Amino acid sequence: MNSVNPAARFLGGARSLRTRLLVAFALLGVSTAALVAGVDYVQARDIILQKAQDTAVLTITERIETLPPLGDLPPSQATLDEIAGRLSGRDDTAVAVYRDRRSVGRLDPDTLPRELRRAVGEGIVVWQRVSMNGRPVLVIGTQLRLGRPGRPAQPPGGSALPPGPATQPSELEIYSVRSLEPEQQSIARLATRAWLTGAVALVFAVLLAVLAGRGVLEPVRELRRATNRLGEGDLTARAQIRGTDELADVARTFNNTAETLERHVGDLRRMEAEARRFVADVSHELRTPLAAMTAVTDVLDDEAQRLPGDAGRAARLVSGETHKLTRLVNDLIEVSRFDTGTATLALDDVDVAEAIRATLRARGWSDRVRTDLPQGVVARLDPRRLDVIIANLVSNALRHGAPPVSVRTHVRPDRLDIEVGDGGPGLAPDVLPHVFNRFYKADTARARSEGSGLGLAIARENARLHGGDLTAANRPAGGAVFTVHLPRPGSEPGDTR
Amino acid sequence: MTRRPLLALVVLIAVLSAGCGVRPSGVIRGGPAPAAPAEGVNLYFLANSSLILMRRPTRQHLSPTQTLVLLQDGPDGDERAMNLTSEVPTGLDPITVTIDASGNVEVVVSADVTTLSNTAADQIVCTVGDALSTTAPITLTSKAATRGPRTCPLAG
Repeated sequence: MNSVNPAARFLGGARSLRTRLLVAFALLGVSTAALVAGVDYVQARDIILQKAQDTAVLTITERIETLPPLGDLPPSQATLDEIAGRLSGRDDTAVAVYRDRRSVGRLDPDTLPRELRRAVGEGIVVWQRVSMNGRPVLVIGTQLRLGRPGRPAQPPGGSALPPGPATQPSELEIYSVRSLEPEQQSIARLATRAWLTGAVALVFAVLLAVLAGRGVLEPVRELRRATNRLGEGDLTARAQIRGTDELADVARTFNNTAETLERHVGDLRRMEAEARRFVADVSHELRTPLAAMTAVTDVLDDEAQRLPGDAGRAARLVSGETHKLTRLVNDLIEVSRFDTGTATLALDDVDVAEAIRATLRARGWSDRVRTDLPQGVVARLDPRRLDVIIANLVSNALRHGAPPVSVRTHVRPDRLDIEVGDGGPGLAPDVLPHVFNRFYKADTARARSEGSGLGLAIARENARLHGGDLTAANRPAGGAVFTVHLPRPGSEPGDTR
Repeated sequence: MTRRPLLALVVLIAVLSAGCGVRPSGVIRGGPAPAAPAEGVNLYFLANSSLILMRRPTRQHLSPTQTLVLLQDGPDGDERAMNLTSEVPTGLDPITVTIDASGNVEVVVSADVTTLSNTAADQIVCTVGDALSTTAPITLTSKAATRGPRTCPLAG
C-alpha cells in the first residue's frame, strides 16, 4: 500500500509529528517556489536570449544593407577584408568568405558549426548559439546578395519586359560571432535571484511549520500529559480544552471518559467500603452473642461426657461448631481491620527463636514440627502478629501438607526469612497464584475444612504490615514452602519502619 | 527509507543547475539573406568551366550593347589572375539588342550563332539579361540562324 505513495511513506517514516509537519511545509514551500521561480527564470532567460539574438541579427543585416556599393566580383582580398572590417563592431567579429578565400582575421570559418554553414547555402539568415572555447557565443551566418545595378533607360517599347529579381546571389558569405557573456551574466543574476527566492520560501515555510506545529502539538502534549496522569491512577486528570477544532473534540472526549471512569471507580470503591464495613459490623455484632454461646458450650462440654447417646454427640457438635464460628468471626474482624487500615504494630525486641518455640508450645505442636532456629536472633517485631503468622502457617502445613513439617529461620544481611515447609505433594501450579486469596479452597472436593479460609490471607497482611512479605513456592525436592520475609531495621539505620 | 527522496532531491538540484545559463541551440532560420548595394556592370565568365557572375566597376552606366562588347573582350588582367576565362569569341560586332512590343528580346550578332558553344550562349544571355534587368527569355540571332529563346541558368 505504501509503495503506491512514496511521498506519504517518506512523511510517515519521519519520526515525530513536528518533523513531518516541518518536512511537509518545507517541501510545499520549496516546490512552489521552485516551480514559480523556475518558470519565471526560464521565461526571462528565453526573452533575454531572444532579444539579444534578434538585435544582433538586425544589426548585422542593417550593416550589410548599408555597405558601400560593392564594385568587384569575385572580390579581391582587400574587398573581403574591407567587408569584414565594416561588418565587425565593438561586440562582434565578422568574417567574409568567398568560395575558398576569406578575410584576414582571428575568426576561422572552419571552426564554425558545419550545419550552420550548410544552412547559409539556402539563402537565408541563420544563427545558432554555440560554445566557443567554453564561452557562449552567437554565430550569425548569411549569404551576401547583391543588388542589381541600376536599370538602364528603357528602350522604346521595352515596358513589357518582365523585371528580374532585385537582388542576386553572390557566393559571398558573411559570418558574425558575438559573445553572449553579458547575457549570461544577466541570466546568472536571474538564477541567483531564483535561488534566493527559494531560500526565502524555505525559511518562511519552516517558520510557518513551526508556528503550525506549536498550534497542533501543544494540545497534543497537553493531552498526553493528562493521559499519563490518568494512567498513573490520578482519576481527576483532565485535559485543557482549547479552541473548537478536532483536537479540542479529542480532549473533550478524553475528559468525558475520565469523568465517567472516575465516577464508576468512585462508585465501586464506595460499594466495596460499604461491603467491608458491613462485614466488620456483622462480625462485631456477632461477637457478643458468640461469647455467650462459648460460655454455654464450655458448660455443655463438661456435661457432654455424662449425656447419653445422641444428646452427647449433639452437645459436642454444637460446642465444636461454636468454637469454629468464634475463630471465623475473630479472623473476619482481623481482616476488616487490615482493610480499613486500622491495624497497628506494637513493636518490641523479640528473640525470634524463643517466640516461635512459644507459639508451637502453646498450641501443642512442639513434637510434630521440626525446628531449625539459630539462637540469639533478635528482631524488632510485633510479637502477637508474629505469633499469628507462625500459627497460621504451621496450622496450614499440618492440615493440608504432610509430615515432616519444619520451621527454620535464615538471617540475611537486610532481612529475616522464616520458612515453614512440609513434606507433602506441594501446591498445584493452578493453585499457587490464588493461595493467599480469602476463602480460597485448593481442594474443592473437600467442602468443609478446619480453618476459616482466612489464615494465609491474614498471615500475609501481617507480614506486609511489618514492611515484609509472604511468598509461597514448591521445593524442588517436593512439598510446599511458605517464606516470611521480614525486614531488619537494625541492620539498616536509614530504615525507620 | 530517506535514501530515495534524498536521491530525488539531488537529481532535482542537478537538473535545475544544468538548466541554468546559456545553452547551445540548434540552427535557427531567419528571413532571406540581406543584399548589399552594388554598382558596376555584371559580366558572366567561367571559373573552372562553370558560369560565374563577375562584376566590374564602371564609371558610368553601360548599354546592353556596350556590355556585350566588354564580355567579348574577355577577362582583364586582374580577372585572369583569378583564373577566370571566357568562351565568347571575338568578332561578334556589330551587335544590336532589340525588344519588340510583346517583350521578346533579340540579340543580333554578326558571327554565326550556331558556332557558339552552349556556355558562350549562356554567358551572352545572362549578361544581356542583367544589363536589361530582366529574366525574360532571350533569342540569339545571326544572318543565317537563331538560337533560343533561352534564359540564364544562374537567374534567381
